[in-house]
Amino acid sequence: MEGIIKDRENVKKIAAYGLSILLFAAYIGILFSARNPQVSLEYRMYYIEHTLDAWPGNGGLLYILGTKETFSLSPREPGALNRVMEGWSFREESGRWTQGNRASVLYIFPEKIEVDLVLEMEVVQYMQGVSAEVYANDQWIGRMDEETGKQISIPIPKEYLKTDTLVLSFHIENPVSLAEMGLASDDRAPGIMMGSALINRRIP
Amino acid sequence: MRAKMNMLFAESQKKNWNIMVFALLAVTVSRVLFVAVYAVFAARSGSEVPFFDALNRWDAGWYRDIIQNGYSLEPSGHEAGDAANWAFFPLLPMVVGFFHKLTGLEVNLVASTLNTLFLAALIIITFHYIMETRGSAGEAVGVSIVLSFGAYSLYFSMLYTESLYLLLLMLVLYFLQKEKYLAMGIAGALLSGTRNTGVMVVFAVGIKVLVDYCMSTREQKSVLDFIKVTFSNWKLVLGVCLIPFGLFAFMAYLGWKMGDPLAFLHVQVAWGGEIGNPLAVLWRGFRSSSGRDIFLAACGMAGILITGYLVIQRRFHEVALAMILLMIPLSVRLQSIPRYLIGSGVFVLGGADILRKLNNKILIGLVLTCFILFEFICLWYWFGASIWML
Repeated sequence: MEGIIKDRENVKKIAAYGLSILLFAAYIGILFSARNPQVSLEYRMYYIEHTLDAWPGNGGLLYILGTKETFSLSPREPGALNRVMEGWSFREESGRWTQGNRASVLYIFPEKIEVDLVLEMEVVQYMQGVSAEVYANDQWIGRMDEETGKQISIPIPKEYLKTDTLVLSFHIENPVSLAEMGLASDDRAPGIMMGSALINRRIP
Repeated sequence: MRAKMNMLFAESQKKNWNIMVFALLAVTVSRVLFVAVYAVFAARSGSEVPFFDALNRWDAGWYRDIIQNGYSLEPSGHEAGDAANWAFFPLLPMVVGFFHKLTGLEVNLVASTLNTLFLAALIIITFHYIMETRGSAGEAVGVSIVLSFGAYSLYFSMLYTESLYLLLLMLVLYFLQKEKYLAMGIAGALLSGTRNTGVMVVFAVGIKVLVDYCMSTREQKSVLDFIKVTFSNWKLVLGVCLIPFGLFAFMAYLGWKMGDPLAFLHVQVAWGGEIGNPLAVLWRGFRSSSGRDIFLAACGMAGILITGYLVIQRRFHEVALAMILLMIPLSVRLQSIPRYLIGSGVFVLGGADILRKLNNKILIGLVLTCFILFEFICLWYWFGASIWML
């Protein structure tokens, strides 16, 4: 009788340790799968890497040539520009200020672009003395300042579009912080207030 | 008074029955008062919202969404469209959803009824836990009054996780105290499926086991011996392994459903706030010009002081829980701190320990009265959708 009880106890022990090992292995497996989530680019950038400023929705970074997008609109409004990355201040009624020395916008095209493009931007305002060098996928494409005006049109050569991705970067020169100008107590340094952006095929 | 309480709840042969009757009575009377407060509120404000709808607002909407539509595939909540219901853990909506389908009754009614029943069970188990760890019927009665009538007790009767979470947490602590490790593991598994901080109870278990080993009369204690003793206890090993089960089951589900097992964590970005220094968050609260921020910071400070007292009392596993459950929310923001303090249990226990130590009847009466009166204010603000209750 004592032997049977001892045997039962041993079976329980073995089952418990076995189950514990199984659970532990399952936890490790789930943690391992969490390292490589199978999610959209938008999800990865917004929720995991925090490199997108607003949630564009799955597939929301996809850009159809000729679509005009507006910086001031809130994320859920049609025509809102939901593809800004780092370097932007909050949305305002008429547009959005670049913030600091670099501001970027990300475009994903349905397929690789094999024609020259043109970037058309509406600038709302330049801070005094501020200018920007504009880059497409890290290649210089143009300049923006008071002299170039508020309706900007900058060609993007197809050679700069090696994949379906286009990162537009604005390298801001001379942004002056609001604190330095005595306009506010914080360190925000606005450069250019952008109103809208549109990319289209370039007509020679 | 103390002798009478000891006789009723500690020495009587019917003590379990007495505790149950006391819990049910406290919960019933306090909930009748809720309805009365709402009747007055509705009469004065002209509100025509039904009682259970007025009670189940804000985050309750997320749980209702899970019950009625399941977990969503894509975020769409909040103004920015980036919030999703997978930030909310599944056990409570599963339980409420089950009874909603079973009875056909309205979700808010089912949720409030179930959570109120959980509260009654919570009071019973907390009573037993206090008797087991403190041996004071008076303290158990005081804590029960705070849980049923006290400030923020309203959260225990709505479609929020407070009731179920604290019930399961106290069950884990109780079974841990009684060294019933398998029951502890099962309660822990349910706890980690109720709220994201639930899994943290595993640290309290680890510390209790370690402290018990250090306090044991074993000769030749060593790290190796501790590992040997711990791992040779198969019930403890399995119990501990069971605790994270709820969390990992939810993670597996999220991984299968939308590709990211950590989606519940990642979606927190929609609620804003970055993880920072909790003391800096507290300090900012005290320096704020907003009365609400100062109040929340004061509550956070009270939480820290109570944790300090638990350290002095050498209740190290409760300290671990208190620190984790206070520092996690405090490292992000002050919002909801009072709710977390009441809903984490250990702070109520620590506060009651302090009052018992002070042994001043007038002070105890004053504190309990303040807590009860404050609950009326909480209810009034809640029904009025005041930002103070966020």
